[in-house]
Amino acid sequence: MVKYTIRRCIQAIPVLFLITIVLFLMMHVQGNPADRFAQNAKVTAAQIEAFKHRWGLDDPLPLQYCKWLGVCGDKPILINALPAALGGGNNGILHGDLGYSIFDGRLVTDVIAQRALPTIILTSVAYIIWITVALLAGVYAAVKRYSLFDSGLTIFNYVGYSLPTFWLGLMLITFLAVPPLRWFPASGMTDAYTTPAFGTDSYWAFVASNPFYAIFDLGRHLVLPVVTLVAVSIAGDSRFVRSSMLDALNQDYVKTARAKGVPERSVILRHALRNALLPVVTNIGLELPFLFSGAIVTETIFAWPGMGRQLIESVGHTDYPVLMGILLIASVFVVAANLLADIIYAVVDPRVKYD
Amino acid sequence: MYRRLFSVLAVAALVVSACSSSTPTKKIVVAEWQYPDTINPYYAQAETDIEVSDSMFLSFVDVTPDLRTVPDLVTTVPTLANGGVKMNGAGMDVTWTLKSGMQWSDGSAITCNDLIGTWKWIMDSANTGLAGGTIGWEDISGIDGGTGTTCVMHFSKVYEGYLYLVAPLLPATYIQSVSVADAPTKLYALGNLKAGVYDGPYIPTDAAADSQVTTVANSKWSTISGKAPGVDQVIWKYYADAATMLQGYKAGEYDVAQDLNDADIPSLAGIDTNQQVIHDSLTYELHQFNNASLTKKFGADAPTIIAAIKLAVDRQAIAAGPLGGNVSVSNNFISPLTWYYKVEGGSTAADPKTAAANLAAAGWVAGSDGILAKGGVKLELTYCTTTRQVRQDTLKLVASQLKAIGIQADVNAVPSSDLFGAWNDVTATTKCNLAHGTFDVAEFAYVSPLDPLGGYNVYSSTGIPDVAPHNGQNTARISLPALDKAYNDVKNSVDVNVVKAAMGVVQDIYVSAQNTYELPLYMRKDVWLVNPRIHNFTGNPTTSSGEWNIGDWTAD
Repeated sequence: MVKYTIRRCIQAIPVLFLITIVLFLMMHVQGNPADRFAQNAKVTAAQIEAFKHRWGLDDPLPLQYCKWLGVCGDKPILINALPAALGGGNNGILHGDLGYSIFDGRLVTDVIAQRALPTIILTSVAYIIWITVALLAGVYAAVKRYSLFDSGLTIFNYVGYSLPTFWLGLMLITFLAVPPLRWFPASGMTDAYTTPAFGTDSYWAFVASNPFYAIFDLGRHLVLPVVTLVAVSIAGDSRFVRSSMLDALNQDYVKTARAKGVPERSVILRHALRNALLPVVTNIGLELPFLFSGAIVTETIFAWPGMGRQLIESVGHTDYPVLMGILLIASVFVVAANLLADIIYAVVDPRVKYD
Repeated sequence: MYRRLFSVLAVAALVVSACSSSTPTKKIVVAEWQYPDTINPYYAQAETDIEVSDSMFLSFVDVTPDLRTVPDLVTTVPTLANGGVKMNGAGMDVTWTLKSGMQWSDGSAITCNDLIGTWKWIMDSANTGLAGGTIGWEDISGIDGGTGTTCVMHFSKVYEGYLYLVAPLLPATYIQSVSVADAPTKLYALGNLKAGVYDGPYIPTDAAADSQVTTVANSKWSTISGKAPGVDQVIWKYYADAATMLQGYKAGEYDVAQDLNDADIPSLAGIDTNQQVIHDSLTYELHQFNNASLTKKFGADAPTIIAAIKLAVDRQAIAAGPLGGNVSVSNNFISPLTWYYKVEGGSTAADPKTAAANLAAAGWVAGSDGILAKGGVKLELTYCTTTRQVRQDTLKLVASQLKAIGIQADVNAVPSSDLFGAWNDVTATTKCNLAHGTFDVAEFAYVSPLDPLGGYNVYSSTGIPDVAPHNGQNTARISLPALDKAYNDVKNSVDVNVVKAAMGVVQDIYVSAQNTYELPLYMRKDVWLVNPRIHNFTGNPTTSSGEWNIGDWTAD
């Protein structure tokens, strides 16, 4: 298993390298950050050129990529790729430097770090609810096959799976956030009238002095985005769990357990569920990256200041360094999720051997 | 048992905590649908940048909602008439008298040295990304005044736009603390707003990206205005788009919605009309005719064809149709609120019969497909606009109106970067690019200039972008000696009577047959939503927008 994991990690390097090349080229198809001066007659061509030079946008594209990677820099081309301690450069992702945002000049790592926590909060809460509800609903529907609950879940699955995320989000806001119901906030992470903006020094000071209210405020702001994010996934996965569980319940070992007089609760949880979970676990691991893509839409609708929203903003600004940073992390996340799914599969199913 | 008891107590604690949390009594939340890129007004490109910075910085003069220029940091508005502006050979001297006793937020005095510092900072060759470039500043040969409050700006040549040049004044000591090369990213950096020095009614304490900017009352603002700001805090809350921002208003998440326009009016249903503030905007939608491409296609008939199109396009139908009756059609491109506006009158009604007759008289005959042709050339035009839906709907309607008189309009909706892309940022063959002239007619919007000279680069022949350095905005490629003369008169004079007369000529030409460059469609609307608990909100059609008097706003 260890050898397999190491081999997969090494294989991931060229994959990620190719992904960065494709992403970098795609970034530059959409335009140049200097386009923002296009309609401004007061900015001279010389000033636009100076702007481009300052951000290295006047370099040929391969050189821009080479610098971003860290192979090119102040040092000779291959020497620069070495770690700084060995006389190499200190720019580029090879040296842990994602560069600076063209729009606000901050380190890309700082930009991402600031946005990571809101996204982690949103997606982890969504993930826990998604898995829990999908498992419970799927198992219960399988055990109570053709019951009212099972039929209701089937209808929910068809409807839920057909709902576009953005539409569902807007509908939830329309019906649950605005009058007459006004049960939940329509946007953001905090109430601007009562709580400082999430992530600021004032916010953490507020949390320290009003922890219960801060949790309550964040919790109620989470409701609609989380429901939007998980509705489609729950619909799909509860169906998958139900089908897998039904399959397991019809296996001979379940019938044998029942014939031996094993209590029904134990038959379901220890014999059927453990085996039914095998394909489910793999599927859930592979679906992890979809949470991130879902968060892009959800964060935009609910003005949730996370990485998804930063991605959209950066696309609008053609802020390549930030875009590349976020997409690189997303790519690593996808590759890692695939690896994790394979490993978990081997862990939960003793029949699978990789070495 | 204990577990249940603990759960009940935890829930009770949460509820009590939620109910007992204190709400600041003097706080206003203002919403925008786009997070600012910068709060430094000299780098600000977007409306949202300017709006948030307006509450933090002051200029020498301000512009009221009825477009009067009033003093802000100064005691009087210098003009030729009051002696504040004096001609000096080929140049001119402008005297600005600062109000006495004014202080920056760090307690230091506001003096002429700040004006000198601002000028030198802008003119520093290491300064990149200035949104307004160095126009006007580069004509200054020196500034007197030092640590005093009577500042004299010496211009080496006449610069008509001197009134709005210092917008805003920056604190010399603070801006010198950051290297000019690093200024775009480190001076008033969004991540460290607290470090900045300000003179506006509210100063920022922190900014949470894409979420909100928190500002608190500037205690030193009273040294400028003679009073304290109306509330303790103003919070700028940011949404991703106008639609969700409107839902946020309905949900009671903020007090004032900014940056809405006529396109948002249908979405205001359900909001009390006494909470809607709707003004005529300075922005107008137009069709621009590319005189170069049309002349190349149709030779000497180009002016006749353009005149026919202007007659055939039913602007009232556009206003009533795609725009839902929320805008008003205008013949002039100058706002009636400006001091140099000239009433031109005239009808805005379409006259397709006369248009068709004029084309027939010029020898254009309908072919078997109903499209006019002459000498083997079909009357077919490339119409271009952005992907904004209302524009596409408008051009669809225009195409049907033109087809009725035998003109084929091929409608192209392209990304904004293609339509507005600068000369060097797109190729010469990029379809529908204004700078390269790869269009026949284009629909987009202009801001009616508050400063008369604002149209110089757009309508003067010196602004035709085909000539290096290709940064002119005369993308209609119009060259009219009378128009050039009028704009040169504006450029070379600070005498309001001369400027007003010259701008009168500009407007006369605009409504005459000489105007083969532009068809104004309609004036757009500025829309704000204001919670009734907010007082003294007036709105403002300039880029200062609603927050122009934010220091005067109060809340119940």
